[in-house]
Amino acid sequence: MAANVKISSFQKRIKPSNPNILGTKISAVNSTLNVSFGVTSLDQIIDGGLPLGSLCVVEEDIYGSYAKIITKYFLAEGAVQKNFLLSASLNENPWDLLNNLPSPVTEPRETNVIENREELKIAWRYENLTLEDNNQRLGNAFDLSIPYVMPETQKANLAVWGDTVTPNLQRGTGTLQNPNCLSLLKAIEEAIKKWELDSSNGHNLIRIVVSSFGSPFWQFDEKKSSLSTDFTATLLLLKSIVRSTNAVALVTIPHQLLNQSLVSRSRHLADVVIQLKSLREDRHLHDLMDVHGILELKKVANLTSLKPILGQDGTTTYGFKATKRKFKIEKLHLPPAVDDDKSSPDQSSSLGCSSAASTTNLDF
Amino acid sequence: MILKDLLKQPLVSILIEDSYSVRGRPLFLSLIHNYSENGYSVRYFKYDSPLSSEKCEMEQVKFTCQTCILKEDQDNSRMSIESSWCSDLANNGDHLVIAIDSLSPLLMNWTVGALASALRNLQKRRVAVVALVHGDVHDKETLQALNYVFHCHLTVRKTEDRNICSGVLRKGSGKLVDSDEYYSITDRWEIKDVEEVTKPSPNVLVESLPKHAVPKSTFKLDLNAKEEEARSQVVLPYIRKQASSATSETAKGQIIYEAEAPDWDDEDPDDDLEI
Repeated sequence: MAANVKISSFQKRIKPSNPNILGTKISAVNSTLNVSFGVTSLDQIIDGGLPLGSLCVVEEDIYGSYAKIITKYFLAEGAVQKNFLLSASLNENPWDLLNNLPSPVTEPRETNVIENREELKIAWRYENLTLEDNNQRLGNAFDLSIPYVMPETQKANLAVWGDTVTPNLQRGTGTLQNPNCLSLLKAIEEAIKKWELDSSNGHNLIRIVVSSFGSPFWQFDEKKSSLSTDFTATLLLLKSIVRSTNAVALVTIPHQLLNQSLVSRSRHLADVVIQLKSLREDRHLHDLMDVHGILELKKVANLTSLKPILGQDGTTTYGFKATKRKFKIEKLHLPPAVDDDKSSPDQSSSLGCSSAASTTNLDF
Repeated sequence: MILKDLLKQPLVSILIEDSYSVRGRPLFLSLIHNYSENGYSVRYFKYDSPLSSEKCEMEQVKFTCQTCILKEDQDNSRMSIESSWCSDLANNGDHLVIAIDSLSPLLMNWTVGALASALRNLQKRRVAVVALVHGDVHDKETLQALNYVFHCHLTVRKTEDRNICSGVLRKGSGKLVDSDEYYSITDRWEIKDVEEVTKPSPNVLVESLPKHAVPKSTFKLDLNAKEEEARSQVVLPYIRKQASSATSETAKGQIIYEAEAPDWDDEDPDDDLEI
């Protein structure tokens, strides 16, 4: 009797490792290749990350500071995974963004838990297996206070747009007329050609980040008649570029400065839309004392099936905390309703349960 | 304390917004006067024609700086204005401040986008910009876009005869700083008495949280002084026990059961039946 005859056709299912493309993992929910945001809590909310070939629009908070943190995480994750990066910005020097990325830190693994475990008497078959996280964690952890020193090999994978002053850009003659948009799309196409990302057997992907698209620096208001077509057409062209190549795009828009119809068009166009709102903007949010702002998932499109992805329990509103070192997204909860001397009586809460402003002495 | 810090060093871009009721020009002029006294070379571009009452005030100010007044017949195109801002930058190095008085006439012909890109060009050459804008002349979207473009935004207002400057500063790291400060301007165009506005803390109503949190009822449930004293002197049983036992073994909830003597009754319970 030969020892290596297969008795049954059973094959142990091996955990799917990284497919050919760097930095992606097959999603457990729908079999798309997902790219991590860099913020693990955000990946969990969107059930695995951003699908490859999608366009994500982040509606910035006022002045865009928290959105900038998310773009930094996105680029840092790409740097660690050795992806190509393209940073486009007219607000500031795009190299500033690339030079101040957070550096990755390895979180200490909890190995002491396994040592203290008692001998399993009943479930002894599980004794040798390690404790594993059920959600396959996609990305790394980063520390915002330590700037990332990029290895030289990765520095060759960077590209920027927007740092050189090009006066007298020609306005286009076709549908898309804004010269900044034309120049940006051209730069993206050149980068893709240079790195051969449009071939079908590519092994790497490019992460494109456009900061504050639609801000006054882009000069969309130069010609009022072509304002909406320029804005929408650029996003549409960007989406078609990333769909046909191994690319992901993250675009942040200052939605308070733009016309509401433009914002809703961009929501229709994009695949994933995240809105950030800091505490400054809404007086009612001060009741949620321990978060720095609210993150709302305005849209999470599922590219491969009809079922919508709604995250845990179907909630779409989360809170975020941005400390000096970390940016974390967590579920919202109301603080305990305690009679507070300091709360002014006219600060009425729109969140019904919080009775911090009540003036009765009744204590049940 | 934004204004205080601004007096020491100019920021990349400062926008002062005023309105008809509260003039911001004195603050604007004294700020740039401060910079010129501190060794910065200031270029002052005047596009507004001030009111006659302001004119004589401004004539008293002697700036060691260039002024440029927008004339009707001059070439007012964007390129010429921009080039006048950027001209001769190489000679002045890092300590150059461009003061624009004010942005309102410029914004009538330019879009905010054009202004933004012009400012960006100036920022790239490390020139500080101080600009005045009249808030009540423009619409909300323009003002919002201007706030986005400028790093520091100051608004002047008046309360009780004191001038207040409210500022929002956006630092390079993304942090936002708010401040409200009083200020006053001397005859010699100096800013002084810059101090923070402190709201007097509201008197905390003691009734809102009484000491014993007694619910509203018709019964007298609270204690008077004598009763409180007596109450505080009561020694609680477990405290005595804890103080006496030093070891922690009895800290666990131990049930002490003393078996009682069995209750045997010798009498026959059916005794009183008369059958």
